[in-house]
Amino acid sequence: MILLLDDEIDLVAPFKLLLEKQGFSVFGFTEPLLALEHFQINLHKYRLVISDLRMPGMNGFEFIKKIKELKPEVKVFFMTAFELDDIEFKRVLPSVKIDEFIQKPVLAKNLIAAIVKHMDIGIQVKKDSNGTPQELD
Amino acid sequence: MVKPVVEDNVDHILQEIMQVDYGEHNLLIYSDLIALNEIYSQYFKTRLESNKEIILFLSTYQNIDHVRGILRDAHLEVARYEGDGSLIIVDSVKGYFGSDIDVLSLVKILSKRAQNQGTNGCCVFADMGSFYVCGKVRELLGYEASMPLKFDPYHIGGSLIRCKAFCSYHQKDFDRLAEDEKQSLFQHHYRNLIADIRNT
Repeated sequence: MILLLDDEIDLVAPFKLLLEKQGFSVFGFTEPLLALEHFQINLHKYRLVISDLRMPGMNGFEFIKKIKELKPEVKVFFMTAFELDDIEFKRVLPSVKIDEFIQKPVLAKNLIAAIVKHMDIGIQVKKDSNGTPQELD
Repeated sequence: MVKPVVEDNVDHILQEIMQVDYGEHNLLIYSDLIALNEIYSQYFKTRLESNKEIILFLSTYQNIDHVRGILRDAHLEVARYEGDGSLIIVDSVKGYFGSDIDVLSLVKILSKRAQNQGTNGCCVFADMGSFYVCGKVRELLGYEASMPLKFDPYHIGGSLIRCKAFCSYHQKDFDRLAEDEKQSLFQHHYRNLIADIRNT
């Protein structure tokens, strides 16, 4: 099971749909506290958490830190529309292991490949009618 | 003394913002990004198209391309104003915490441009969410407390340079502060404005 968190519902919905079409069970959230509550209740089912980085209220670093406290072995991906650099990471998360950093917009095939790699499963990437993997915002 | 706080819909807050004088160091709390988008796009459009000021925008929750898109949707000629140096959009995290960009240096550069272009002055519109993103809330309170309610005009090359500033906070970030911290922020700003899209 995958938990998906982004403060923009316009991003959560298509990502959730895409992953569900690939056969994943996905729960999408825009509110970190609700996501945490669901994660805690379904702790043993979750294998992967994908979170946006910059969110008001509780940012991705704080969220992932709490997730890791609840289940240290869960895989975590960060997604961001910002240029990835060291400023935020070195200052905030020096010790928490992040399995993947995903730059938005992301190709569907790349996102799925990363999930497959870390969840140790085999899956075919679905393509559109032209045979092209979908790109997501 | 408790500082007054104006809480209203986006249109009314925008009217308040349009009346802000140079020198003022103001606080703006926005209920969500829709409210913020409406405020900055309308304000920038009005001020830039009338050649009244030079604007530095530090954005936290929207990347620079996204901000440009919002401004283009408001029919602002973004490329033109970025090209002539009257609009600068910066990632707030890089602006406050990066090593290659420094907000105060940028303000000085802007001030010189304002002088050269004959505008009234410059406006800094800074989203303070970067302090939350980087886990620096205590530093944020110290930074805000170190700023005066009103900036004195200063001289560069014989010309008077005037600046005004808006420190913007997402409501969810602001709500994380303790009550005394909120009051402290209100005390350290000349005007305190809360724009709530739900009031619209």
